[in-house]
Amino acid sequence: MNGAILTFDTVSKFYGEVLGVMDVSTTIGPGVTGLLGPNGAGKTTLIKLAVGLLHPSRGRVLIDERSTWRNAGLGIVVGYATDREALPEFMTGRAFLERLLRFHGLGSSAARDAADAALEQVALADVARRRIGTYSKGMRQRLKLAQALAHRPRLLILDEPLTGLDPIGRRTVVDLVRRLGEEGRTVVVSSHVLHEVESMTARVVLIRDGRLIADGRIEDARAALLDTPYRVRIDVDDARALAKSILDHESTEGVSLRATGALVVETFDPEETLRALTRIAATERVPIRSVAVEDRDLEALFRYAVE
Amino acid sequence: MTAPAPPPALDPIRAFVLGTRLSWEQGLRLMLRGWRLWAGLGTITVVVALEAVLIGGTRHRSPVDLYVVINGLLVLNTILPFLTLVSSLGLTSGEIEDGTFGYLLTRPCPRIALLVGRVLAGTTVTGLALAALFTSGVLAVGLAAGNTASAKPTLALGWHLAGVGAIGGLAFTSLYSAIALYCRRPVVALVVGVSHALVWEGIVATLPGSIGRYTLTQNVRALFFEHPEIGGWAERVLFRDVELVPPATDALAFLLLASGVFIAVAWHRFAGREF
Repeated sequence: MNGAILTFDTVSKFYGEVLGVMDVSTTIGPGVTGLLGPNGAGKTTLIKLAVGLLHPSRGRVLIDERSTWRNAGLGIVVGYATDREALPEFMTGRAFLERLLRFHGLGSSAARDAADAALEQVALADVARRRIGTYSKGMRQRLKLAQALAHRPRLLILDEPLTGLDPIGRRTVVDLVRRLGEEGRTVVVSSHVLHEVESMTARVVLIRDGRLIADGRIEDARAALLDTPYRVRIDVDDARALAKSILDHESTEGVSLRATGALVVETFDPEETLRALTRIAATERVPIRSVAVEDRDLEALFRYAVE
Repeated sequence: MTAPAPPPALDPIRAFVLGTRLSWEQGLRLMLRGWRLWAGLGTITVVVALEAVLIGGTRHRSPVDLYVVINGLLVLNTILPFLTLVSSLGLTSGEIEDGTFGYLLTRPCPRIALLVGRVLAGTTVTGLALAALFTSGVLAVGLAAGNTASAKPTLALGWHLAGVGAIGGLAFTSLYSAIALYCRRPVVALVVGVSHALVWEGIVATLPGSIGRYTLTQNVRALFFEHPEIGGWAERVLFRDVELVPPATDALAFLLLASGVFIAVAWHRFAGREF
């Protein structure tokens, strides 16, 4: 199954005088793409523009070269899972999916089969006949995912799909998303929990304050930022003494003290810095409470990109 | 389990017809469950009990007259606007507010179909509620007055009233759906709707002169009076000056035209609305 091509062409969205997103241009093709940014960054605005629930103030949003605004026909191509909690509490999970599938032209029997298949994919087959009102938060999340993929769309847009899931549910969804990407579908997954996205994809779009910050593979984005050193944060009682010692080490590019009392060492070789810290702690009897390389996750990547 | 093949694309006409039907079905399910169902049944019970008490208590010689006063005037003038207001808000504004409508908006179904389906659902619910109300009123007349002979003609009147109620229901539902869609918050729509029902459909509809002809209520009433028995009675008792009531054909045209205009207005808002 070939995925759809989602294109944002210099897209801006304003809510009155409030900026939603500004001049976003990117193209998303088959495979899984993470849409990353903190809360309020504009992720949901971009997603709603993509599924045609919002109209861009400027620019164009296209799926397979067709505008998403007021284009009901794209409903066959797109599956969308909202980040909102709303679900019809009085219906069973199966009936909910069945009703939605009938809008796609499926008869009762075909809709039931497709609903069952989707519920099985998200590990909800056991509770398919239970009222949605009795579902846990994790089940509700997976049900939203099921309604998005039940009609087998070529483009799946999932807004914060891992929120509220327990570890098993998370594993189920992560595996499913990966599998859908491997099938060749286009899957867009938004999240502000960055390591979650790392578990599903290496391709990310970073967004903050409505602006696109970086776009590409995580490693490429990191490589593009190689002129920025890693940061090693050390929680220690006597930060000034340790700063003096580590500053003399050849791998150290710079040191700074945080308001919390933590010492931050900037380095291009964090492994060497960690070894040096261990030696200093042993020889100078400096008790170090904790050491963390801040650059090892997307959080750091994001911060570098912004700064 | 083998995953079923993806559904094929729908042509626009099929998508519209299918969307309207499914939206109508969902609207009906939404209305005929939970507190709305119980509120509706409660209203019917209260009205029927009122009829029984009045007819039985006064030992009125013509129970049909009282039946007409209660069902025709109380129900058509007062209950109809509020019934349609509640159903319209529930079917449009309420669902949009709680977010469940979003699941339909991303389906391959034109928005106009969703809107028309919901308006028809509101109309159907109104027609069903009034039919139940009027039919159960027949029982009240027959039992309370101890005059079963009057039941048959009253039953005929009941169905006449239900038909009038359905036409009026379409007009009111279209209007209140438009109001619900123009007001972002359901509570604002409720205030606007109640104000309209009380002032325009309540006070203005009863004012002397021609302005009342532009209210839905007076046109619904004109259809109601079209029935020979009711019309003659109304002329004698209620409206000495029958010029106040527009001819039934004019009233029917007015109500259908108004419904079309309100649906168009609602559609204009709904088509361009962001969610």
